[in-house]
Amino acid sequence: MRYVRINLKADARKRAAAIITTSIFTALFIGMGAVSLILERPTVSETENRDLETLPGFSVQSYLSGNFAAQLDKYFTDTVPFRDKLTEYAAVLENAKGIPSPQFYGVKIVNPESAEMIDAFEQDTLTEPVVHDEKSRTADQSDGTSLVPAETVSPSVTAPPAASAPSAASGTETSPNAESSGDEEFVGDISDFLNNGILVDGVDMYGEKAGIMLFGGNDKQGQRYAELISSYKRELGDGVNVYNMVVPTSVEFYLPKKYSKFSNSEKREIEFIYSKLTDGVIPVDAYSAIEAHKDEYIYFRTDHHWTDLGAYYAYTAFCNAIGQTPPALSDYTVKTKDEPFVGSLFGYTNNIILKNNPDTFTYYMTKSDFKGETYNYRTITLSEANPIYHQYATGSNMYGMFLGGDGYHIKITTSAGTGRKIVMFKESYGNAFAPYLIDSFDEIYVIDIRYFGKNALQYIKDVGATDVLFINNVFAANTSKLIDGIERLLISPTGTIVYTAPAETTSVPVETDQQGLPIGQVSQTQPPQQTVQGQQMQQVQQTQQTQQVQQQTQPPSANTQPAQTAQPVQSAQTQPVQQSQQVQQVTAAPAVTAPPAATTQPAATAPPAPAATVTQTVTSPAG
Amino acid sequence: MVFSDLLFIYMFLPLCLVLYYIFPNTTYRNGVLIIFSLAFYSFGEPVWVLLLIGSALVDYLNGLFIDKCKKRRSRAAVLGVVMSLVINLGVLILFKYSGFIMENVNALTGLSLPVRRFTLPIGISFYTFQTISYTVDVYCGRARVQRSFLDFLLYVSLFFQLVAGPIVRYTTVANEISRRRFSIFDMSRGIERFVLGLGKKVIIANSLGSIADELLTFETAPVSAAAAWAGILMFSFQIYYDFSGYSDMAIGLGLMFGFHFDENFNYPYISKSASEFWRRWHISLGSFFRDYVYIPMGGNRSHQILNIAVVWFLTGFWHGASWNYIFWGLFWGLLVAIEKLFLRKVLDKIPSVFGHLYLLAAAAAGWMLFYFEDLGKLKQCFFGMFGMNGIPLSDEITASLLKGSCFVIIAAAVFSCPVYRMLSEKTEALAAKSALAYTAAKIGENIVLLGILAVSSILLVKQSYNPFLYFRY
Repeated sequence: MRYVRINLKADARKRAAAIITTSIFTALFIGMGAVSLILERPTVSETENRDLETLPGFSVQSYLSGNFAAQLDKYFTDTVPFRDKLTEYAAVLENAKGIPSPQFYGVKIVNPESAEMIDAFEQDTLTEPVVHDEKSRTADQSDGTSLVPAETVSPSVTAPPAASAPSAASGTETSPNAESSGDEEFVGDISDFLNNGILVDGVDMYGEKAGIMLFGGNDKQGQRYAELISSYKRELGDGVNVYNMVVPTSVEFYLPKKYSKFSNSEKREIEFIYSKLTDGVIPVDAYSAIEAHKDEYIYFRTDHHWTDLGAYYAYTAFCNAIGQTPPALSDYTVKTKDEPFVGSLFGYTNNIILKNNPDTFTYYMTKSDFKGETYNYRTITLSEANPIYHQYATGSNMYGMFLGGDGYHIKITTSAGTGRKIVMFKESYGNAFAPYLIDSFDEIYVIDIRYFGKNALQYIKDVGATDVLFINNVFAANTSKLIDGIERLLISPTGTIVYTAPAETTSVPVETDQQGLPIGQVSQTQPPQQTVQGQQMQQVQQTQQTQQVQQQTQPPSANTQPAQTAQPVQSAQTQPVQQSQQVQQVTAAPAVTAPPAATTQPAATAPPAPAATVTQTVTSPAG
Repeated sequence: MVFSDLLFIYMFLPLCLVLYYIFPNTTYRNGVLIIFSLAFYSFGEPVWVLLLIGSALVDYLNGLFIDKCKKRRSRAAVLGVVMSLVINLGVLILFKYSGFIMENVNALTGLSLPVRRFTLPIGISFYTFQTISYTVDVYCGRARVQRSFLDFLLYVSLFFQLVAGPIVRYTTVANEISRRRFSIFDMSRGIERFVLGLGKKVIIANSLGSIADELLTFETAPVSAAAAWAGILMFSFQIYYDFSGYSDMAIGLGLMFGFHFDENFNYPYISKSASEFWRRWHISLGSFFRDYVYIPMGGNRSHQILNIAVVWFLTGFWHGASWNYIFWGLFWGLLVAIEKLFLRKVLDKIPSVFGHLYLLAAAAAGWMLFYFEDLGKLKQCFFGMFGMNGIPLSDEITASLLKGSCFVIIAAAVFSCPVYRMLSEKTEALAAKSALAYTAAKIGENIVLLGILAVSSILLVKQSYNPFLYFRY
């Protein structure tokens, strides 16, 4: 009898437990389902620097092909509310799976004797179409969402020498931004470059843990790179100096010896490329200049780019080559972002160690006057202001501070007065480098090799360039896709170029961009505080001086100046600047304060009333 | 769609649960399940869902035909079985094996017959076997004929087991199709099983699977011994946690909707012999071949060796249209045969630790055969395992991969022993002893389950590596 009672009691307890478990979890499943329907879904991932998937439109065709279901599934997972927060937790969890140790992402042993990386892009078609629209990028990116390190990071790594065809295909698929468009504030993608994977942790840079992209190398492509640049010189003749600078990357200086078998020598590869240059191409020895300062903060720990300081040392080497004396570092306005910078290496590896050891983003702004303009790649004629230093760039996009990202085709008019004009062909390493040229050339034309489609020789002649610079990091100089770009610019038909160099006094009709915002012609001179006061030139762009930017050369009060925060365009800085539209919006915004349509006066000498005066009052007390 | 998918867990499942339990009677509930099942399947196979319905229809009619003949005591009943076999196996051969067969015919004869490889409709290897089991069982009198097509369609299409098993026999669920009783115990056990399965899949299988893939890719560099061993070990864990996790989720879902499926896994890695391993591994497949091939062929009584060879050839071949699966199946068949001949007696006499070691080595060797469809790579891996390729025995990448996931690896090793079962039995036993202790234990259990669900969900938000290994069958 007693036994039965105990059993009855036990049953009741079990029943209660079952009811509780059931209630908790059904409530959770149903509640989360409801919440995920109600809550707003994000459209952009800031940490990953990409647009998220979109809700697919239903059609019978898309349904029958299975695309609808697949896209719906992707959309649901990709746009989970609080996604960026959750992926951050995911990174923490990944890290908690074991004892933190050096993590290799798609890394393989390389042959130390010779660079013999297989370039997955080599099998691609020779000419990549220059895409310049939003959609293609989004489409491309949708396949780049997966972050399987081995595949995505280095498609080349998984490409077996023999089975070339399938590997080429996979390489193309996993290179998310292979054809990304030009008008983004969007900075070079790791998978754009032939690499040997990423090593995170196990590497110290400037006393903290870091990530490093490992160098595989490819002599065959390196040789082709050198030959192509030589043929530029051959075509251009004696009238134009052609310089070539191949930039080493962080792996060369900071990879511990014990991991040396995972990366080839960049020095060897750079020397190899330089040895193949002919026809009087002038090599620029950036390597030595950078190496001499390897104890300084010249590369990012969490991003595959160099810092602005690294770019400065390369610039000193370039000055050497062009017979100029570079301004001293102290001649620049030094600024440091308040916000820490966590760059592309985190985006790819999602390794929390990078997030926990963020970079400090310091940059050096010239005090000289200049005017920056962006040209649309397709029409070439349309121009809009480009502040060159896009100081509002935030988050993982911070490297987009320079030039506003990769995609722009830019003209900078300066007051250097050297009588020289330069056309610069670059990938994203060139972004940080380009602004330094303001002190060396009267006109600077910046062209990203990957996004430009016209004939480069014609272009160089049209703008009347005296100098041409090819500046690429050593990965890029080994990557067929980029080299294909150099070739494409060389051989593309001359007839297509319709470049008309806008005079200093341009009047540009008010165009309307996709968002219906006016794009005006705005004078763009740069606003280092000290220079500005006492100068007649005024800077509308200055209104964008972000609060996040700490001005080291200024007393702290500079940040809290009331007028600065009172500027209407201040709102721009709080926007997550990801989209081209937003970029345009920001650059266009000052135009609103300037007399809009026809600014027929030389913009630089026309401080349009309201904005200028306000800024003037801002800057005066500072000095 | 797969179960370890946010869209499934937080949209499909709750929607299905709510609609299912809104309706009071089984007929409507079955309707809900059929609609959701077909939606689930058409999510992955928007076209071949028709094949599924067609296959169900054919065997439904075959069942009726067999039943009719049997009532008339007509010998023609066997035609129904033959028809079912021909159609089901024909479909399976056409989609799964025709390319492989043609390739080998071409290779043998030197002809160049056209080779066409079809994309395999999801779950076809599972549902064709299920419908075969139905017609055979009706013929043998083990099952009663199903007169309602919708009920039969429900059995075939039930989304819990449709795409990746277990192979649920008709007899297992025949009664529950028309009569199910809701039980809160089933419900809570079902939820528990589902969450555990999800954790097995997302936390363990996916983590270790990505390590296995990274270690066993060796395309540009030869593999070190450490990498080869670790890679095979990680794959051994992956395939167990992946597949048993999926079965757990299927069984759990079944319980949540009132179905009781048989267990599909029973801690296979604690076995002491190959025969025992296959009584614990993918039980529904092993027992299917035993009951529908081995025993009808004569079992232990006549030409046993031939029977063993056929069964294990089929077991291997079922896993994929590639020679490595056939070798893998025959490898297990060979071990089973040797055990029957003499090894069993030896194993019984020596300390059981040798049995365990023998089985684990056999399983690892088996998975090596299973993993590499490319026989050249298999060779590379094998030489690598014994340091026969002239490169150092270990490397930094392997070390860092293992170290970086060591807690998950330890968990994988621990939970491949019946630890969880022991804990949960102890917990239930507490109910009769002490309310306090039972409450505490249950609170702990719920917290652990919530933790597993939370961790799995968060990992799924950013998990690109989420394959189901048994999805291609």
